[in-house]
Amino acid sequence: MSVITLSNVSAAPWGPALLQDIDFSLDAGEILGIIGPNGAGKSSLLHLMAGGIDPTHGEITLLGNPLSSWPADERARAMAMLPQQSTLNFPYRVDEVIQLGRNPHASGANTDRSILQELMELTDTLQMADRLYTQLSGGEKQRVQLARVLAQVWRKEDAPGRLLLLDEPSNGLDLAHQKLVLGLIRDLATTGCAVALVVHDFNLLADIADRVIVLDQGKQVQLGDSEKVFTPATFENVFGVKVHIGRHPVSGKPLVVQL
Amino acid sequence: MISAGKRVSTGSVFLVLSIGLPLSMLIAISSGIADIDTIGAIKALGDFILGDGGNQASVIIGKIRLPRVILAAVVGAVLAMSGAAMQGLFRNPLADPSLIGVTAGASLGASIAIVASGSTLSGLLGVSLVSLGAFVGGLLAVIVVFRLATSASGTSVATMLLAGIAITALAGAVTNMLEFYADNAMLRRISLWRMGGLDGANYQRVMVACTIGGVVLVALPRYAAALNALLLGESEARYLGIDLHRVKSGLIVIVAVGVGTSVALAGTIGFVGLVVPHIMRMLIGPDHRALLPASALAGALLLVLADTVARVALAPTELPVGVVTALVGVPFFISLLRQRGHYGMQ
Repeated sequence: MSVITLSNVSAAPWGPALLQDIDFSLDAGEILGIIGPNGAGKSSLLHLMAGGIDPTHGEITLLGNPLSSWPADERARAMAMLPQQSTLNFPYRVDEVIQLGRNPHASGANTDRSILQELMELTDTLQMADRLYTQLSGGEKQRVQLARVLAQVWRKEDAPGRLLLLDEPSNGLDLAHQKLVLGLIRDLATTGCAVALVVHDFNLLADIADRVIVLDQGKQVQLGDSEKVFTPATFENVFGVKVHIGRHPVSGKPLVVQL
Repeated sequence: MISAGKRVSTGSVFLVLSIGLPLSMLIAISSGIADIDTIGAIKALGDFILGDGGNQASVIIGKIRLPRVILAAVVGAVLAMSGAAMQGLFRNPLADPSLIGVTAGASLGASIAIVASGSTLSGLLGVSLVSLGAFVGGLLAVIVVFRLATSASGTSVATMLLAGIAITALAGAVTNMLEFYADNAMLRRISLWRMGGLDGANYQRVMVACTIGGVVLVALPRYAAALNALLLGESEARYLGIDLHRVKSGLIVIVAVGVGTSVALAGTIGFVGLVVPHIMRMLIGPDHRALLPASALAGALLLVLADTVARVALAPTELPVGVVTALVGVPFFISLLRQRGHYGMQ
């Protein structure tokens, strides 16, 4: 089942075109990786899918209905988005921030509390539940924000279909927590939630993404699994770097080494 | 000072406030130039309510002090809750209703009313006209600021703050020009009105304050969940299902009506809208579901006490209550600024 479909979508929120002719569809349980050089339109693509930017051409459908026709509250039950930077500077406690992810849902205090408890354990934020968000380190804040967006789309029964959009979710995380978060994203996908994420670490992306979309100057230049997309030619043309594509010794997935 | 992360339980704060507010009102009605002790005040209040208020004490309590205390409580509650809502909307703990131009616009409206009415109008009609001028001025200022900040892509909070500063400056300049043309009597009325005062309290004003104030105090908490999400940032709030345009315009209009009415009835009273939400946030955290009602209670408490001080400190002369709130508020606010690291405000 297709969760979100973009049909020849272009967007130009501030005049010049940011994205042109984006065309793909994302199925339930699928993980899509978005890569491209700085300024290629990766974050804009996520905001476009989230409904924060309106398309100038083409159509976006979420669960079969045009995205623009979704009421804001219903859309928020089906879709969550983690932006790149958080501007929160009010002294919320960590558990209060994560609880905000349950705002769109009317699932009751008990359900919310158990989801909160589960996610704080899974994101390793339980021991800081009482601390103030404003006093956390960058990586700790990132895990709290992740827990918040996960809480929004965690339960299958909250929406007819779910979509999670992540802009650099591994930002600021140490290796152990990167692994933890990637595992969480994969687990969420296996429950039927579609995931689209921007990550700069190609090897990490090859490991987790079912398909990869390559953006360059707002255009979709490639779409396919990492085997097909990760070629020396792609990296040369899009990123202007020479790479060697090896094999991951354990997973057998492509391993990108910059030369 | 409160250490990092430690909060006072919300329940105990509400308990203290809901005992403290009636207590402060009782202190307020039993303080004044006419010497009536607390027992006497309660008895006189009873007489007044039961309708056999013929004696002097019950007239003083019922007709002079009680409306003033009620007005102070309502105005304090409206100002503090509006301040808390504005700070949430602007995601700026230092925001104040005066930032979006309400106070300056209301001041201008009142000054125009004072100068235009000249010496022809006096008494109740004059006071009502000044109040109306303040209310209209405040509302107009906010509408202009809101229009300036709203484009096809939505309302920019940053632009709104800047537009608020511009409108405040413009309204201030026009007010100064008016003062240039005003005679001595008008000047004195303008400056007294500006300092803020509850001395015009009567039951007509109490009725107006309770009606409009009541609507504001009921309407603002309905935005608590939206304000909580807004603290995360605008796009985060949108992705949490908040209809930003509806929330922003709703909050702005309600605050303009509330603050405009307060300014119209009691003049400009500074720092209640800034300091009270700040203290409450320090005590119970930024969750607006508790912060908004707690700010309202604490604002009422503060203004009732401040007005009592204003009445008795230099008796028989009265200080404008705005002077008292500023004298108490500014040092407190400066100490908050110096200690902001202690409670996680950056």
